[in-house]
Amino acid sequence: MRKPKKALTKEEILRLASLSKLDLNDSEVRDLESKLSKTISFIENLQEIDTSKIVVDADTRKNVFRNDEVDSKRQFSQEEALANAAKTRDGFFVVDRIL
Amino acid sequence: MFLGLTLTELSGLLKQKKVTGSELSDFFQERIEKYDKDLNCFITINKQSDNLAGLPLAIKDNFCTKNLRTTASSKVLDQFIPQYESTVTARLKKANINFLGKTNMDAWAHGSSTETSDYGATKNPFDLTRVSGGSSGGSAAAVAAGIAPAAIGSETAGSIRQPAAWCGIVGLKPTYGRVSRYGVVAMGSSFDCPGPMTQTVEDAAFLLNIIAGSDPNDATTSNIAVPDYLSDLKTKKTHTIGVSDEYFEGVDPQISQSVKQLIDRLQKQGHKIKKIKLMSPQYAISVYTILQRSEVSSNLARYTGVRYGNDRSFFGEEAKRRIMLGTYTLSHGYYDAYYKKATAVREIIRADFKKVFQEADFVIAPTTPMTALKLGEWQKYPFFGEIMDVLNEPAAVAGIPAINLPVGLDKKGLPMGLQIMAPHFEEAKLLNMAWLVEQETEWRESWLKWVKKQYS
Repeated sequence: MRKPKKALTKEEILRLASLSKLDLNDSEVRDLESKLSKTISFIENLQEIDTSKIVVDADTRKNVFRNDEVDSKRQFSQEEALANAAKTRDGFFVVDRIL
Repeated sequence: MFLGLTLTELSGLLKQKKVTGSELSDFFQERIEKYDKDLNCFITINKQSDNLAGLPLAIKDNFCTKNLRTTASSKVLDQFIPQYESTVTARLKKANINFLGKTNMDAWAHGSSTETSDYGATKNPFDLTRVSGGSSGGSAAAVAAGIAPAAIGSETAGSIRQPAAWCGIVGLKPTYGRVSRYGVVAMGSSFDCPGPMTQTVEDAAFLLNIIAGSDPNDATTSNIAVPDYLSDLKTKKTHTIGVSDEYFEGVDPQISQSVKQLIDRLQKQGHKIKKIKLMSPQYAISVYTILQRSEVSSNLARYTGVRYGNDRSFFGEEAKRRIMLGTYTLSHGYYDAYYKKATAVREIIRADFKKVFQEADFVIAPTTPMTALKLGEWQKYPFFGEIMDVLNEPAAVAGIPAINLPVGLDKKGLPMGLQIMAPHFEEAKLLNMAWLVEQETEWRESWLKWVKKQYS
């Protein structure tokens, strides 16, 4: 586990932007360097709290399941599914080339 | 002539056939047309309502309303037409409610003033140079200015209570899991709570009766039975009220004084006032900041512009900031220090409230540290949203229900709010306590006088 850092570098900002699929211009990168670093400094105050005895597990959280069945009342028709798409062709969503 | 009638009263008139839904709809739509250009409460007016016969209501624009544009106040969803109905709006429709329109909010609910909306800020009806609060600002201002008799909002940490406090209305954040999030544009999935924003406590109970309850489409809803929130609402009881000094730190003296005066009046009515100790709300800020932004970064990943909406270049600055921080706190190497740590402290905050509720039935505190800011004033504060919501974040983090009640105006003529917090799923008791407090304020009469002078 890396120790929490107090300031983000430009490289880290660009890496995070790439992970979040956000295109940032230079002024946005500079703004984020300063604002994110301030926020990260602030949230350090949690390190003051002893959480060594806290366990978050099946006693405090449980999963809720349902049967793996299709409820046809909740299904979209193809038209509904495509209704808000910017680009469609022959009943398909058009996506950017990835290969 | 319907100005200032509560939702409950209008419902009575409809049932007795003394008025038709169309007449009510026309009345409020005219008021919206007259006043909304100055207030900017609404993003979409529902001109083609399929239920004009119903009781009118405004809906925050993060609820998917089938065939009625839903934007979450972001240009990413500028032309988005939901193909399905959220559970909350489906239940409201079934209860014969007519949606007047979709109200303005901070984009993606990221904010405490509606200034991050891509459609302009909502002005405070008490002072048009000031903000209504947020993120449910449009809903709050619409009710305060009498252009909607009631509204639905949502709260992640303060987004119902804070604009309710700044606009002088009742705003209830139910227990997390009491009301379904299905069809609500997700912000912080372990925090988001749809809730009523109304003129009176009775109206809040009226709406909660309709929207509360387990939903197979939202696995985080509770199976605990929904009581009738109206049945014991107006009973005179006495309770033990916890007061924590930690929640008065940094609060404007006029607000503190108003809240303390009301607590004194409650004591005279026979309630027991007990000094209790709660963790400083400062820690809840960090827990909330980390967990919410982590969840936001995940929830906003779906907006790629492929299946719906515009692409990610349409995100505003605040959305980008929150996505980036959330990506950081979830990223490899930092996940333990931030996300896991915050999750653990969250358990401590939850346990802190549980401990206090063994000695007191409720906790009463100010809702906000200050009254409504001027437009643009947020820039003075480095963690604007977090500071405005500091007193709301602990209850949000713990998942407990809490309600804002307007208690008066400060010297600037701006509404001040008091909040009551209760144990998980005790909304019936909370609403009763809220009703008792409501009887001790003169707010209703003064608001009726004011709204009939300012907005008619």
